[in-house]
Amino acid sequence: MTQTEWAEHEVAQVRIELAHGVVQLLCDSRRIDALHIKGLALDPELRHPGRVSMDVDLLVRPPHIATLRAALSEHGWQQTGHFSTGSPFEHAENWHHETLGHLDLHRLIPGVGLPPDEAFDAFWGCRSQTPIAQVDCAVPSLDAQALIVLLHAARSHGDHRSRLDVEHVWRTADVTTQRRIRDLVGTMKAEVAFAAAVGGLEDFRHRPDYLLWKVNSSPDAARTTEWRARIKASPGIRSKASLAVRSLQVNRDHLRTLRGREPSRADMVREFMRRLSLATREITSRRGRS
Amino acid sequence: MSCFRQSAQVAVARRDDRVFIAQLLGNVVVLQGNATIIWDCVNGSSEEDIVRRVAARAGVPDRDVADEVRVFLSSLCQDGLLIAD
Repeated sequence: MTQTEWAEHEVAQVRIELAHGVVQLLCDSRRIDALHIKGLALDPELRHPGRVSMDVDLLVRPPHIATLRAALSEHGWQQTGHFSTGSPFEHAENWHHETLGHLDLHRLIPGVGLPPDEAFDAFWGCRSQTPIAQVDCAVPSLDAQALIVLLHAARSHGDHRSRLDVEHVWRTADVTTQRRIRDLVGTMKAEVAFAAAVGGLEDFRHRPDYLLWKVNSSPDAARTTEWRARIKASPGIRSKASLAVRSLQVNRDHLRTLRGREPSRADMVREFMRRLSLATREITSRRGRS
Repeated sequence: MSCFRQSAQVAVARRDDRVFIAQLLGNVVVLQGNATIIWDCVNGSSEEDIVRRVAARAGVPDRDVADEVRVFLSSLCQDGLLIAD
Protein backbone atom coordinates (compact mmCIF):
# COMPACT_ATOMS: atom_id res chain seq x y z
CA MET A 1 0.00 0.00 0.00
CA THR A 2 1.43 3.42 -0.97
CA GLN A 3 1.48 6.30 1.51
CA THR A 4 -1.42 7.99 -0.34
CA GLU A 5 -3.46 4.76 -0.34
CA TRP A 6 -2.70 4.31 3.34
CA ALA A 7 -3.84 7.89 4.08
CA GLU A 8 -7.07 7.37 2.09
CA HIS A 9 -7.65 4.08 3.90
CA GLU A 10 -7.14 5.78 7.26
CA VAL A 11 -9.55 8.59 6.40
CA ALA A 12 -12.14 6.04 5.31
CA GLN A 13 -11.73 4.12 8.57
CA VAL A 14 -12.09 7.31 10.66
CA ARG A 15 -15.22 8.17 8.71
CA ILE A 16 -16.74 4.74 9.35
CA GLU A 17 -15.80 4.88 13.04
CA LEU A 18 -17.47 8.29 13.42
CA ALA A 19 -20.52 7.08 11.48
CA HIS A 20 -21.02 4.17 13.92
CA GLY A 21 -20.87 6.60 16.84
CA VAL A 22 -23.16 9.23 15.32
CA VAL A 23 -25.77 6.68 14.26
CA GLN A 24 -25.76 5.17 17.76
CA LEU A 25 -26.26 8.65 19.25
CA LEU A 26 -29.24 9.14 16.92
CA CYS A 27 -30.64 5.77 18.02
CA ASP A 28 -30.17 6.69 21.69
CA SER A 29 -31.89 10.04 21.19
CA ARG A 30 -34.97 8.40 19.60
CA ARG A 31 -35.04 5.23 21.73
CA ILE A 32 -34.36 3.05 18.70
CA ASP A 33 -33.13 -0.51 19.29
CA ALA A 34 -30.35 -1.26 16.83
CA LEU A 35 -27.38 -3.62 16.71
CA HIS A 36 -24.13 -2.79 14.96
CA ILE A 37 -23.17 -5.83 12.93
CA LYS A 38 -20.04 -6.73 10.95
CA GLY A 39 -17.33 -4.25 10.01
CA LEU A 40 -15.75 -2.21 12.77
CA ALA A 41 -18.32 -3.52 15.23
CA LEU A 42 -17.08 -7.07 14.75
CA ASP A 43 -15.19 -8.48 17.72
CA PRO A 44 -11.42 -8.47 16.96
CA GLU A 45 -11.40 -12.22 17.62
CA LEU A 46 -13.61 -12.72 14.56
CA ARG A 47 -11.67 -10.48 12.17
CA HIS A 48 -9.07 -12.10 9.99
CA PRO A 49 -5.94 -10.01 9.33
CA GLY A 50 -6.56 -7.49 6.56
CA ARG A 51 -10.36 -7.56 6.90
CA VAL A 52 -11.53 -4.02 6.17
CA SER A 53 -14.97 -2.51 6.41
CA MET A 54 -16.48 -0.11 3.90
CA ASP A 55 -19.67 0.98 5.64
CA VAL A 56 -21.83 0.76 8.74
CA ASP A 57 -24.25 -2.18 8.97
CA LEU A 58 -27.09 -1.76 11.40
CA LEU A 59 -29.77 -4.34 12.28
CA VAL A 60 -32.81 -2.40 13.47
CA ARG A 61 -35.83 -3.62 15.42
CA PRO A 62 -38.40 -3.74 12.58
CA PRO A 63 -41.05 -1.49 14.22
CA HIS A 64 -38.33 1.12 14.88
CA ILE A 65 -37.23 1.44 11.24
CA ALA A 66 -39.60 4.30 10.39
CA THR A 67 -38.32 6.32 13.34
CA LEU A 68 -34.71 5.75 12.32
CA ARG A 69 -35.46 6.73 8.71
CA ALA A 70 -36.93 10.01 9.95
CA ALA A 71 -33.94 10.65 12.23
CA LEU A 72 -31.46 9.93 9.42
CA SER A 73 -33.29 12.21 6.99
CA GLU A 74 -33.28 15.02 9.54
CA HIS A 75 -29.53 14.65 10.06
CA GLY A 76 -28.16 14.87 6.54
CA TRP A 77 -28.49 11.25 5.38
CA GLN A 78 -30.01 10.42 2.02
CA GLN A 79 -31.60 7.14 1.08
CA THR A 80 -29.82 5.64 -1.95
CA GLY A 81 -31.33 2.14 -2.06
CA HIS A 82 -34.51 0.38 -1.00
CA PHE A 83 -35.32 -3.00 0.56
CA SER A 84 -37.00 -4.21 -2.62
CA THR A 85 -34.04 -3.39 -4.86
CA GLY A 86 -31.03 -3.98 -2.60
CA SER A 87 -30.46 -7.74 -2.79
CA PRO A 88 -32.27 -11.00 -3.59
CA PHE A 89 -33.16 -11.14 0.12
CA GLU A 90 -34.61 -7.62 0.27
CA HIS A 91 -33.00 -7.33 3.67
CA ALA A 92 -31.30 -3.93 3.69
CA GLU A 93 -31.73 -0.40 2.44
CA ASN A 94 -28.87 1.98 1.81
CA TRP A 95 -28.19 5.46 3.12
CA HIS A 96 -25.41 7.91 2.40
CA HIS A 97 -24.04 10.91 4.28
CA GLU A 98 -21.72 13.35 2.54
CA THR A 99 -19.21 13.28 5.40
CA LEU A 100 -19.88 10.01 7.18
CA GLY A 101 -20.25 7.70 4.17
CA HIS A 102 -22.49 4.66 3.76
CA LEU A 103 -24.96 2.98 6.07
CA ASP A 104 -26.80 -0.27 5.39
CA LEU A 105 -30.00 -0.44 7.40
CA HIS A 106 -30.98 -4.11 7.86
CA ARG A 107 -34.46 -5.27 8.73
CA LEU A 108 -33.43 -8.93 8.87
CA ILE A 109 -30.44 -11.22 8.50
CA PRO A 110 -30.70 -13.33 5.33
CA GLY A 111 -30.65 -17.01 6.25
CA VAL A 112 -32.33 -16.62 9.63
CA GLY A 113 -35.65 -18.45 9.42
CA LEU A 114 -37.33 -16.86 12.44
CA PRO A 115 -39.69 -13.98 11.68
CA PRO A 116 -37.71 -10.68 11.74
CA ASP A 117 -39.27 -9.45 15.01
CA GLU A 118 -38.52 -12.71 16.82
CA ALA A 119 -35.02 -12.89 15.37
CA PHE A 120 -34.28 -9.35 16.52
CA ASP A 121 -35.55 -10.18 20.01
CA ALA A 122 -33.25 -13.20 20.13
CA PHE A 123 -30.20 -11.19 19.01
CA TRP A 124 -31.12 -8.25 21.27
CA GLY A 125 -31.64 -10.49 24.30
CA CYS A 126 -27.97 -11.50 24.40
CA ARG A 127 -26.40 -8.27 23.13
CA SER A 128 -23.36 -6.61 24.59
CA GLN A 129 -21.82 -3.15 24.25
CA THR A 130 -18.67 -2.09 22.51
CA PRO A 131 -17.27 1.44 22.38
CA ILE A 132 -16.87 2.84 18.87
CA ALA A 133 -15.84 6.48 18.52
CA GLN A 134 -16.25 6.76 22.31
CA VAL A 135 -19.94 5.87 22.05
CA ASP A 136 -21.32 2.66 23.56
CA CYS A 137 -22.72 0.72 20.61
CA ALA A 138 -24.99 -2.31 20.99
CA VAL A 139 -23.62 -5.43 19.28
CA PRO A 140 -24.83 -9.04 19.12
CA SER A 141 -23.20 -11.65 21.37
CA LEU A 142 -19.91 -13.12 20.16
CA ASP A 143 -21.60 -16.32 18.93
CA ALA A 144 -24.30 -14.31 17.16
CA GLN A 145 -21.62 -12.18 15.51
CA ALA A 146 -19.91 -15.34 14.29
CA LEU A 147 -23.22 -16.66 12.92
CA ILE A 148 -23.95 -13.37 11.13
CA VAL A 149 -20.50 -13.42 9.49
CA LEU A 150 -21.04 -17.01 8.35
CA LEU A 151 -24.52 -16.29 6.98
CA HIS A 152 -23.10 -13.33 5.08
CA ALA A 153 -20.36 -15.56 3.66
CA ALA A 154 -23.07 -17.99 2.52
CA ARG A 155 -24.50 -15.41 0.10
CA SER A 156 -21.20 -13.99 -1.15
CA HIS A 157 -20.84 -16.33 -4.14
CA GLY A 158 -17.74 -17.91 -2.61
CA ASP A 159 -15.61 -14.76 -2.93
CA HIS A 160 -12.14 -14.50 -1.43
CA ARG A 161 -13.21 -12.54 1.65
CA SER A 162 -16.04 -14.90 2.51
CA ARG A 163 -13.70 -17.90 2.23
CA LEU A 164 -11.29 -16.21 4.65
CA ASP A 165 -14.22 -15.41 6.99
CA VAL A 166 -15.39 -19.03 7.07
CA GLU A 167 -11.84 -20.22 7.64
CA HIS A 168 -11.21 -17.75 10.45
CA VAL A 169 -14.58 -17.82 12.20
CA TRP A 170 -15.57 -21.46 11.77
CA ARG A 171 -12.77 -23.80 10.78
CA THR A 172 -10.31 -22.50 13.37
CA ALA A 173 -12.93 -22.38 16.15
CA ASP A 174 -12.68 -24.99 18.89
CA VAL A 175 -15.27 -27.74 19.25
CA THR A 176 -17.07 -26.02 22.15
CA THR A 177 -17.44 -22.79 20.18
CA GLN A 178 -18.65 -24.67 17.11
CA ARG A 179 -21.24 -26.49 19.26
CA ARG A 180 -22.53 -23.19 20.67
CA ILE A 181 -22.78 -21.70 17.18
CA ARG A 182 -24.63 -24.79 15.92
CA ASP A 183 -27.07 -24.44 18.84
CA LEU A 184 -27.67 -20.85 17.81
CA VAL A 185 -28.21 -21.97 14.21
CA GLY A 186 -31.02 -24.20 15.51
CA THR A 187 -32.54 -21.44 17.64
CA MET A 188 -32.52 -18.99 14.72
CA LYS A 189 -33.69 -21.63 12.18
CA ALA A 190 -30.71 -20.87 9.98
CA GLU A 191 -29.75 -24.42 9.00
CA VAL A 192 -29.85 -24.09 5.20
CA ALA A 193 -27.84 -20.87 4.91
CA PHE A 194 -25.40 -22.09 7.56
CA ALA A 195 -24.82 -25.27 5.56
CA ALA A 196 -24.25 -23.14 2.44
CA ALA A 197 -21.41 -21.43 4.35
CA VAL A 198 -19.69 -24.32 6.12
CA GLY A 199 -20.71 -27.32 4.01
CA GLY A 200 -23.52 -29.84 3.89
CA LEU A 201 -25.99 -27.86 1.76
CA GLU A 202 -26.91 -30.98 -0.25
CA ASP A 203 -28.55 -32.38 2.91
CA PHE A 204 -31.21 -29.69 2.43
CA ARG A 205 -32.19 -30.38 -1.20
CA HIS A 206 -35.78 -30.93 -0.08
CA ARG A 207 -36.10 -27.43 1.39
CA PRO A 208 -37.76 -24.65 -0.66
CA ASP A 209 -34.87 -22.26 0.00
CA TYR A 210 -32.18 -24.79 -1.03
CA LEU A 211 -31.84 -23.42 -4.56
CA LEU A 212 -31.68 -19.82 -3.32
CA TRP A 213 -28.69 -20.66 -1.14
CA LYS A 214 -27.13 -22.90 -3.74
CA VAL A 215 -27.24 -20.01 -6.21
CA ASN A 216 -26.03 -17.36 -3.79
CA SER A 217 -23.17 -19.44 -2.45
CA SER A 218 -21.95 -20.44 -5.88
CA PRO A 219 -19.52 -18.24 -7.85
CA ASP A 220 -21.17 -18.49 -11.29
CA ALA A 221 -24.93 -18.14 -10.84
CA ALA A 222 -26.83 -16.63 -13.77
CA ARG A 223 -29.36 -13.89 -13.09
CA THR A 224 -32.43 -15.87 -14.19
CA THR A 225 -31.33 -18.77 -12.00
CA GLU A 226 -31.20 -16.39 -9.05
CA TRP A 227 -34.73 -15.15 -9.76
CA ARG A 228 -36.04 -18.73 -10.22
CA ALA A 229 -34.50 -19.54 -6.84
CA ARG A 230 -36.14 -16.51 -5.23
CA ILE A 231 -39.51 -17.43 -6.70
CA LYS A 232 -39.17 -21.02 -5.47
CA ALA A 233 -38.19 -19.92 -1.95
CA SER A 234 -40.99 -17.35 -1.79
CA PRO A 235 -43.87 -18.67 0.38
CA GLY A 236 -47.19 -17.74 -1.30
CA ILE A 237 -48.53 -17.74 -4.87
CA ARG A 238 -49.14 -13.98 -4.72
CA SER A 239 -45.59 -13.37 -3.55
CA LYS A 240 -44.22 -15.69 -6.24
CA ALA A 241 -46.14 -13.83 -8.97
CA SER A 242 -44.94 -10.46 -7.71
CA LEU A 243 -41.33 -11.66 -7.74
CA ALA A 244 -41.68 -13.05 -11.27
CA VAL A 245 -42.83 -9.67 -12.56
CA ARG A 246 -40.12 -7.79 -10.65
CA SER A 247 -37.37 -10.03 -12.00
CA LEU A 248 -37.61 -8.13 -15.29
CA GLN A 249 -38.18 -4.71 -13.81
CA VAL A 250 -35.30 -2.26 -13.86
CA ASN A 251 -33.64 -1.50 -10.53
CA ARG A 252 -33.60 2.32 -10.54
CA ASP A 253 -31.31 2.48 -7.45
CA HIS A 254 -28.74 0.23 -9.07
CA LEU A 255 -28.92 2.09 -12.37
CA ARG A 256 -28.47 5.43 -10.56
CA THR A 257 -25.32 4.10 -8.91
CA LEU A 258 -23.96 2.80 -12.23
CA ARG A 259 -24.70 5.99 -14.17
CA GLY A 260 -23.77 8.38 -11.35
CA ARG A 261 -26.97 10.37 -12.03
CA GLU A 262 -30.74 9.98 -11.97
CA PRO A 263 -31.57 7.53 -14.80
CA SER A 264 -33.62 8.96 -17.68
CA ARG A 265 -36.67 7.27 -19.20
CA ALA A 266 -34.47 6.20 -22.13
CA ASP A 267 -31.96 4.65 -19.68
CA MET A 268 -34.78 2.69 -18.02
CA VAL A 269 -36.12 1.40 -21.36
CA ARG A 270 -32.64 0.40 -22.55
CA GLU A 271 -31.99 -1.43 -19.26
CA PHE A 272 -35.35 -3.22 -19.46
CA MET A 273 -34.60 -4.39 -23.02
CA ARG A 274 -31.13 -5.49 -21.91
CA ARG A 275 -32.60 -7.56 -19.07
CA LEU A 276 -35.22 -9.10 -21.36
CA SER A 277 -32.58 -10.01 -23.91
CA LEU A 278 -30.26 -11.36 -21.17
CA ALA A 279 -33.06 -13.47 -19.67
CA THR A 280 -33.92 -14.83 -23.13
CA ARG A 281 -30.28 -15.72 -23.80
CA GLU A 282 -29.92 -17.44 -20.41
CA ILE A 283 -33.09 -19.48 -20.98
CA THR A 284 -32.01 -20.36 -24.53
CA SER A 285 -28.56 -21.47 -23.42
CA ARG A 286 -30.08 -23.60 -20.64
CA ARG A 287 -32.38 -25.29 -23.16
CA GLY A 288 -29.36 -25.85 -25.42
CA ARG A 289 -27.55 -27.65 -22.59
CA SER A 290 -30.49 -29.80 -21.53
CA MET B 1 -16.42 28.68 38.60
CA SER B 2 -17.33 26.69 35.44
CA CYS B 3 -16.10 23.20 34.88
CA PHE B 4 -15.87 21.84 31.35
CA ARG B 5 -16.73 18.44 29.99
CA GLN B 6 -16.91 16.91 26.53
CA SER B 7 -20.43 16.82 25.10
CA ALA B 8 -22.08 13.41 25.23
CA GLN B 9 -23.61 14.16 21.82
CA VAL B 10 -20.41 13.71 19.84
CA ALA B 11 -18.51 10.78 18.39
CA VAL B 12 -14.74 10.96 18.74
CA ALA B 13 -12.03 9.13 16.79
CA ARG B 14 -8.28 9.41 17.24
CA ARG B 15 -5.39 8.89 14.86
CA ASP B 16 -1.87 9.72 16.06
CA ASP B 17 -1.98 13.31 17.36
CA ARG B 18 -5.33 14.12 15.72
CA VAL B 19 -8.79 14.05 17.24
CA PHE B 20 -11.81 13.87 14.91
CA ILE B 21 -15.09 14.98 16.50
CA ALA B 22 -18.43 14.41 14.75
CA GLN B 23 -21.74 15.93 15.80
CA LEU B 24 -25.20 14.53 15.15
CA LEU B 25 -25.53 16.37 11.86
CA GLY B 26 -22.30 14.77 10.73
CA ASN B 27 -20.13 17.89 10.67
CA VAL B 28 -16.62 16.91 11.70
CA VAL B 29 -14.08 19.03 13.58
CA VAL B 30 -10.42 17.99 13.50
CA LEU B 31 -8.16 18.99 16.37
CA GLN B 32 -4.39 18.83 16.16
CA GLY B 33 -1.39 19.81 18.29
CA ASN B 34 -2.21 22.08 21.27
CA ALA B 35 -5.92 21.79 20.50
CA THR B 36 -5.69 18.05 21.18
CA ILE B 37 -3.93 18.69 24.48
CA ILE B 38 -6.71 21.05 25.55
CA TRP B 39 -9.42 18.57 24.49
CA ASP B 40 -7.75 15.87 26.55
CA CYS B 41 -7.53 18.12 29.62
CA VAL B 42 -11.14 19.24 29.82
CA ASN B 43 -13.03 16.47 31.53
CA GLY B 44 -14.57 17.95 34.65
CA SER B 45 -11.82 20.57 34.99
CA SER B 46 -12.08 24.31 35.57
CA GLU B 47 -10.56 26.83 33.17
CA GLU B 48 -7.66 27.47 35.60
CA ASP B 49 -6.95 23.74 35.90
CA ILE B 50 -6.95 23.38 32.14
CA VAL B 51 -4.62 26.36 31.68
CA ARG B 52 -2.25 24.89 34.30
CA ARG B 53 -2.23 21.44 32.70
CA VAL B 54 -1.79 22.71 29.15
CA ALA B 55 1.07 24.98 30.28
CA ALA B 56 2.72 22.09 32.12
CA ARG B 57 2.48 19.82 29.08
CA ALA B 58 3.82 22.55 26.80
CA GLY B 59 6.58 23.41 29.34
CA VAL B 60 5.70 27.13 29.46
CA PRO B 61 4.34 29.50 32.18
CA ASP B 62 0.52 29.58 32.66
CA ARG B 63 0.25 33.17 31.46
CA ASP B 64 1.72 32.28 28.06
CA VAL B 65 -1.19 30.00 27.18
CA ALA B 66 -4.06 31.39 29.29
CA ASP B 67 -5.64 33.65 26.66
CA GLU B 68 -5.33 31.09 23.90
CA VAL B 69 -6.90 28.37 26.07
CA ARG B 70 -9.81 30.63 27.13
CA VAL B 71 -10.63 31.58 23.53
CA PHE B 72 -10.41 27.99 22.40
CA LEU B 73 -12.62 26.67 25.24
CA SER B 74 -15.16 29.33 24.42
CA SER B 75 -15.23 28.37 20.73
CA LEU B 76 -15.64 24.67 21.55
CA CYS B 77 -18.58 25.57 23.84
CA GLN B 78 -20.16 27.69 21.10
CA ASP B 79 -19.84 24.79 18.66
CA GLY B 80 -21.54 22.48 21.15
CA LEU B 81 -18.51 20.22 21.52
CA LEU B 82 -17.91 21.17 25.17
CA ILE B 83 -20.37 21.81 27.97
CA ALA B 84 -19.60 24.35 30.72
CA ASP B 85 -21.38 23.35 33.94
